[in-house]
Amino acid sequence: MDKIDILPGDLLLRRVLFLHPNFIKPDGTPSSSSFRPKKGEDGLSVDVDRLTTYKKSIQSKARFRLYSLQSEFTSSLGLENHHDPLPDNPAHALIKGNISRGIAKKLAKTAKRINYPD
Amino acid sequence: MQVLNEPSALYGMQNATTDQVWHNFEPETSSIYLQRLNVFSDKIARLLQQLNGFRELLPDWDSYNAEAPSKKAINAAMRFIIECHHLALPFYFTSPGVDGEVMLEFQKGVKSAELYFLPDASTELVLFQEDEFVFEGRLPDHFDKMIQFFKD
Repeated sequence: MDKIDILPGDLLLRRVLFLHPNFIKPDGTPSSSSFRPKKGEDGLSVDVDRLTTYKKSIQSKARFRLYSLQSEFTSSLGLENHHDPLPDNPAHALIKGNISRGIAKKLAKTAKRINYPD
Repeated sequence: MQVLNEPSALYGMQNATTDQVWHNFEPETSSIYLQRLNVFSDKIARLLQQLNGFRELLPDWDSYNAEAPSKKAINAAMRFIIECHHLALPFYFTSPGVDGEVMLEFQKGVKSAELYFLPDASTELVLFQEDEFVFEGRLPDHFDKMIQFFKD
């Protein structure tokens, strides 16, 4: 699949564990640990909402819930959104930049829960 | 007694054990004694149980290639809770991180702190106010600051 431009208004989906362990705090926000890339990785993996379905993106309804970030919000933090299609996931994208502990907390606090499957 | 009245000094002792802390503690004379040390609140017991459960996580437990949580990090976080649960710290949440670290989160009103126990036995402390970054440093150097942050 050819790379596309991620536009303002695009939603970026991130899986968050809600069972074993539960990354969703009592106030409903996900832990900032869910929004930190692994050391050495090129960015934070997400799926572009308009290129996938919730069913495909969530992988396991039993283990994960989906949270969305608006592309213009990540851009406002100085991060860059890059479409990075994979053979088994054409919707894959990377949020690149310095995702410090503080930035990860902002991402987690701002992410909106997708009401799927419940 | 001296040990619990100077918690930052204690935490800097890499080889300090829970036994050493409890052996030296005299609750009747401590100025920061809040509750019976041998009883965990439900919240503290739940955090310890969750931390212990992290031992079962395998690599890629988050579907994004996370490392399995480091046993050293889990043990350090549990030891911290056991030694410090009676202090005036607003324990709130715990989660593993993608690089094998373990995070303890504290929250009181608009103030919060994230305390990371890393696989190499080092620590990172990050303080936030209204979700804005306030401070970052190592726990042994700034434990007093963390306690004062939530007291103010």
